[in-house]
Amino acid sequence: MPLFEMQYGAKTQGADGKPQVVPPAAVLQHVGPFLQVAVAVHPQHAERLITQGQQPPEAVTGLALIDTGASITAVDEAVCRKLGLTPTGVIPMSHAGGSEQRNCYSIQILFPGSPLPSVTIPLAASCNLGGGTQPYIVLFGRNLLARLKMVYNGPRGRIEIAF
Amino acid sequence: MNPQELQTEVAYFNEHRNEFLAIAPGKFVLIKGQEQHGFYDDDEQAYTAGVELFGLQPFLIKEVVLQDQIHEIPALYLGLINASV
Repeated sequence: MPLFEMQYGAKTQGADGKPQVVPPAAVLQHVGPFLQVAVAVHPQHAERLITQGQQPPEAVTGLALIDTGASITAVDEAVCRKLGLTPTGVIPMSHAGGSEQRNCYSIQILFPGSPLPSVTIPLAASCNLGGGTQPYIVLFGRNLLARLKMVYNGPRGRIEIAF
Repeated sequence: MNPQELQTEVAYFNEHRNEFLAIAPGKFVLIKGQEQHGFYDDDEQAYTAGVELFGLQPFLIKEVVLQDQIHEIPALYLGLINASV
C-alpha cells in the first residue's frame, strides 16, 4: 500500500515586517487537509481521443481539499469545460434552499510529486469551486475516501494517506 | 454544465426504475437515449462499456436503487470555501 505523508507549513509576515514561520499544526487547522493534484480525462477517454488522432487535453493542476463532510467527490465546472468532458451521470445535490440536479463527469486524478497512484472517478459531481479564495479544483468526498486510509495528525500538522 | 443534456436518459431511467430494480438491484445501468445497454457491478465497468459503445458522447450511468441518494457537500452551501453549488 503506497504511503504518503503531507507535511504542512507556511510563512507569514510578522508585525515587524519580517517573515515568520507558522506552526504546521496551525496551518492544518486553518486551511484543512489538502493535496496538490492534476485532473485529467479518464484513461479510456484519452485512449479514444488518441484513436481518433487527437491529443488528450493537458491535465489541470490545482489543490484538492479532503472533505469528510462531502458525500461525493466534486470537480470544478471550469475544469470539466477545459478538459472537454461529456456528462456520465446526473445526481441530486442538496443546497441551502433544497436540492438540484448536477451533472457528473468521469475524471482521473493524479498526485504530482507523490508516490500515490492516480485514481479514476467515473461519477464526479461538477460544482462551482472557482468562486473561492482557495485554488481548489477538487473536493475529495467520502466516495473516494472509502478507497483509502488517512491519518489526520493534528498536533504534527500533517496527514498520512495510504491507498 | 447543463443537467438537461441527459434529460432523456434520466426520464427513461425513472420510467423503468421498478423494472430495473426487479432484475438488477444495486447494479449500475448504462443508458443512452431511450435504451438501456446492460447492468454492471460498478460505475467503472459501466463507464468502460459506455466509452466502448458510444465513444465520447454523453451517456448516463445510474445506480439501480429505489430512491436516489441526495448528495451533500456542506462546505459549498454553507459558504465555507466561498463557493456555491
